[in-house]
Amino acid sequence: MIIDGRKVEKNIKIDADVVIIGSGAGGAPAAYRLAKNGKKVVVVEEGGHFTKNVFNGDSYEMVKLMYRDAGSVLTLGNTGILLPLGRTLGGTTTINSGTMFRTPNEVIDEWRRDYGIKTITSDLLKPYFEEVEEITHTMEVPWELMGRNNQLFAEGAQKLGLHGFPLKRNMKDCKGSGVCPFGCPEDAKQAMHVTYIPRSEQYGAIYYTYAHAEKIIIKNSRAIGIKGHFMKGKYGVEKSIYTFEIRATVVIVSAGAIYTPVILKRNGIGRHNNMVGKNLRIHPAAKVMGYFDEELSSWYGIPQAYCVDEFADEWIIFEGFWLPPSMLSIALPSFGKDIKKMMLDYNHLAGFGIMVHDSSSGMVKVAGETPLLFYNMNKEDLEKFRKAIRIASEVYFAAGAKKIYPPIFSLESINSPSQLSKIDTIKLKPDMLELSAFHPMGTARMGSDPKEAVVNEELETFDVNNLFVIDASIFPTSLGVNPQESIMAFSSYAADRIIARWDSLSR
Amino acid sequence: MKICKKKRRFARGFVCRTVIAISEVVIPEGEGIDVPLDKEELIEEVDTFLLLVGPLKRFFIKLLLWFINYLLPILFLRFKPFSRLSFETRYRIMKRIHDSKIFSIRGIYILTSMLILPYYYSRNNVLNAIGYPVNRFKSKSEAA
Repeated sequence: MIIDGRKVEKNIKIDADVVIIGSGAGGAPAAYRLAKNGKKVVVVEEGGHFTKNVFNGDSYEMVKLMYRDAGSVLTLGNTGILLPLGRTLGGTTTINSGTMFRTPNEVIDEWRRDYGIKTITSDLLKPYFEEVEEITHTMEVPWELMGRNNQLFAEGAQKLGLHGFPLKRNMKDCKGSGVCPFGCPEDAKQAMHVTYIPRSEQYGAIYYTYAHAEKIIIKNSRAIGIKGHFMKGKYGVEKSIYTFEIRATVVIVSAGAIYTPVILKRNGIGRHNNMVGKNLRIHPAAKVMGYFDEELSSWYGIPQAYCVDEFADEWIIFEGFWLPPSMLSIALPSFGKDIKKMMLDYNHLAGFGIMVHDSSSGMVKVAGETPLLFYNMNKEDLEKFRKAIRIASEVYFAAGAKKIYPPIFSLESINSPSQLSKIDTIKLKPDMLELSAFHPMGTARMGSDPKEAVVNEELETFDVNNLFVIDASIFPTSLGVNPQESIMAFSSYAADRIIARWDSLSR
Repeated sequence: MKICKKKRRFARGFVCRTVIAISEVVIPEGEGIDVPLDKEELIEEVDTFLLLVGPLKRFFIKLLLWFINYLLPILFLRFKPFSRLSFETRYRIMKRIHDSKIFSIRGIYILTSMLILPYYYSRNNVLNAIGYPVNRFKSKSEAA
């Protein structure tokens, strides 16, 4: 059952077994597994419930409905990075590109070596990944469904001998509508609102949308419930006078790596080592665009469909991306009339993304109810971007691009391969890169040492019993790949641990 | 400005005047795509945006617009509010901000353009001019 919090007209008190804050890749799989096991599960979600009936491909309208702060979340530091976050049922899975990767073995090894994490192994996670992939219909993108931007990059990479492959995505009957980040108009993308959430509803899970959790009720160092208020108005961003209180044996925070630390900090959790909000990794990304003579119609086909992983051992990967005009307009290296001229070339532009497994880190601080994000990019990551921009530019030239627009301030365009050396020689600083990020992680990290970590290997907080964190904030490092499948697998694993310990948790 | 006298929650007074003054230079009329900006609709959208971003960001955005309108011209030795400067002067000021090597100055352009450009480049007549297929999924939306 999904209840629209804007329509609730009384204060609500509920008793449940498990209450979950957040319905994204962290909250929904756990809700399903726990409900299936007979637990009474209540989920509160700050955003609204949207489906293919609403998704109309109008990116501007969809951003207002489903993106936190209308897509204007930014990091501060030695550069500014746009970090779009979901605020909708299904969380960011509803508005992402649908790319699925298992947690790389090297990353799990790194966690064991550097963070003392012993129980989490590739073998332990394997059945969870398999289940996630089955439920979400994870499959390889067929060539004919790829957006032209992907096909061109694949052709260029093949000419240069770079290894690449079609990405795996959670999709079923995909028609290549081309607007994945703004809600799939066919609901072909198997996000939480079409997979785990309806499955958990079948087992009695209740979802309250437009419900903002504020307080974790703690008694004798044990979480016993949450309190909050419903929202009102068209966009559900204003506080209603009506409140909720949900008492439960287990409280799970799955609000994502930016808002989970806000909730924990506001409730005084993690003071013992002051680690909540620290270790923010964002998996920064940049885009390289190429101008081609041919008409590309990049709006058809899956925008993120191909990956070049030739440099994955250096923690650089390339993945497709494309944006509708409203979003691309703020990412062009032009001003005034030149933006208009570039936009007239929209049908000739292709774009590809670069993602760097960051060794840089930042933190989430809290001002009232608002997170302030601080992130400084270090020289190592900066040089990775320089190398990646050069490679992506070479690939597009190899694919036939006439001009490249690198994401470097003061290097507006590169008109021939002979000018590529400009990328090597430019005195690069972090604030010269046009960056965005889509994968925040690490702000309530998992570990074996209570002095260094926020949650243990069962994802229960060291500070408060019966309080679990299940989302990307628990990852000790960046994953180096899109994290949604890892979050879903960890969610299922943590739910199994809760079920196994239920008697002791409810004592 | 008549548009700015209309009652709105956030986008009124200097906020409205400054956004309109910036929009005229960020989206100059006639060049390339010959679709005029609907300023009244833009201000309605800015009002919604200011609602969506919450109180803290709203405060900073309004502060930034206040800075642009009243203090920025002084730095360029112009002693009138930004919204009352000629188009050419406003264009020069914003272009210099856009081209600045200092990121925090360039950020002024980036943040203010986020209020204006996505709106303009989402309008149907602009999309038509670009060749982007409009309302591909509209029938479904209308059914909802």
